[in-house]
Amino acid sequence: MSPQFVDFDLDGHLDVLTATFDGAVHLARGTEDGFAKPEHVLDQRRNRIVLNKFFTTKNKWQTTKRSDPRGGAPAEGHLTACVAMDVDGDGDLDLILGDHTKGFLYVRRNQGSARSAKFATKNERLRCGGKALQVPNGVMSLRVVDWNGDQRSDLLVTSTAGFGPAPGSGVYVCIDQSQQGAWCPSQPIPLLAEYDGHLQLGPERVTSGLYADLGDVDGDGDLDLIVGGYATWRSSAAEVSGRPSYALAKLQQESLALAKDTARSARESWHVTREMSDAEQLQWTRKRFLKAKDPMKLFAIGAKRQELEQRIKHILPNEHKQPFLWIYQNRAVAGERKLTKPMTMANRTAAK
Amino acid sequence: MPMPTLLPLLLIAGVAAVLGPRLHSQSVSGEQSPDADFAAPVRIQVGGEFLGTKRNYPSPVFHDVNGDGRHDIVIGDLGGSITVAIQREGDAIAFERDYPILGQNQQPLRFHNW
Repeated sequence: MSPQFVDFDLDGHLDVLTATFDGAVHLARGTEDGFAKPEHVLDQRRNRIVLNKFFTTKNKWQTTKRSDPRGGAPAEGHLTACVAMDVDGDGDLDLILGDHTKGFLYVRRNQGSARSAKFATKNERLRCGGKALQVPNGVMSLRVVDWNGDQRSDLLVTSTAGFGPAPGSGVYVCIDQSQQGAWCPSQPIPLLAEYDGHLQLGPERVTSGLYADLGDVDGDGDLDLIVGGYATWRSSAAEVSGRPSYALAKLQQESLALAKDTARSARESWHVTREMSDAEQLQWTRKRFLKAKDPMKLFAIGAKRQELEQRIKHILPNEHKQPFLWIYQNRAVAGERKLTKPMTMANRTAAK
Repeated sequence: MPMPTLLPLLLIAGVAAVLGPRLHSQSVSGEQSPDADFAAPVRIQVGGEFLGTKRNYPSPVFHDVNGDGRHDIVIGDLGGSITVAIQREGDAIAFERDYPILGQNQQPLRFHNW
C-alpha cells in the first residue's frame, strides 16, 4: 500500500488514503483526536471502489465487472494503487486508480462535492488526447507531484514486472501537457531506467516491488527521489565461466528434465484428484504408488533432483533478496525545478 | 569433454574478466534518465540498520509529520502497517528510527489488506 496524506473531505484535517492488496480503496479520516479507524471508500451505490479482482473476508477472492468502463475493461484488473487529485478541474477530488496486473490507469470521478464525495459507479480509462495511459508492467504506486515546476500536477508512477528480480521495473513520470483547463498527462516517461535484469554484486538498486515519492529532502530546491522495494543481488564477484559454466548448464538441463517429469506427474494427479476428499486423495496416491511399474523410480527422481540442486547451488554464487529504502539525490541546479511539495487538493486550493 | 572444445570458453572467460568491471560501471551510469540527474542511490540507515528491511514491500512517502519544515518518511507496507521516520536537524540527510503512527485509540494505525 502507498499512503497519501490529503484532506479528502476538506474538513481541515489531513486524512490517509491508500489502496491495498485487497483490491479496494481505504481511508483513515483525520480528526481532532488523531486518525479514525480506516474505512473503505464507497461509490454512490455503496459499493467498494475496485477494478475487477478484490478480496472480502466472507467470500475470499472475487471478480466483478460492475465498474468496468463503457465498452469493457481492456483486461481483468487488480487495483492496488490509488491517489486522489482533481482530474477534471471541478474543485473536488477524483481518484486515479492503478492496475497491478497490466499497468492500466483509470479515473473514478467525484460527482459530488469537495466536502461530500459521490463517486461514479464506473471506472474510466485515464486518457490524454484520446490516448489511454498504460504503464509498462504492473502499477505499484501513484503520487501527485509537480516534476517540472509549472505549478500543475504531474503523476509519479512505479511499476514492477514480478516478485523476483524483475526486469522492466521502473519509475516514471506522466507530465501534464495542458497549459490550462483539463488535466492531460503524458504517457509515462522513465525517471529511473527500468531494471535490466542484470544481477548486481550488491544491493545497488531496487529490482522489484518499487514504490517511490519525490520531495526536496536535502533542502537544495530540487526534487529528490526516494524508492522502496526489493534488491536481489549476488554475493560473489566470481562469474561462472569455463568448466564450471559447462558443468552448471549440464546440471541445470538434467534438473529441468526431472522437474518436467515431476510436473507432468503432478498435473495428472491434480486433474484426477481435484474433486476427491483428503482421505480419497491419500488412498488414490497409495494405489498409484503400488501400481507403478517402478515405484522406486519416484524416490530416485526426488533424490536425484535434490543432489543436482545441491551441486548447482555449490557452483552458483549465492543470491540474496531484501527490501530497502534508497534516496536518489537530485543533482540538478537548484532553481530549475523549484517546486518541492507534492501537490494535493489542499495546497492546490490554497494556491488559488 | 575434450580440451579443444573448452578453449573457446576459457578465452571468453578471460575476455569477460578484463571487460567485466567496465561493463558493470556502464550498467550503473546508464540507470538514469537524461531528464533526471540523480546521484547514485544511497540506502537509508538508522543507528547502523537499514530502514525498511523488516517490512514487506516498504512504500515510502515524504510528509512533514512534526511540522518542522523537513521531509520525514512515512512508510506503508503490504500488511497495512504505517510508520514514520523523522528527519533529524542538520545538514546531513539523517533520520530517527521509525515508529508506528497511532490512531484515535492510541493503537498503531493499520489498514486492512484482506
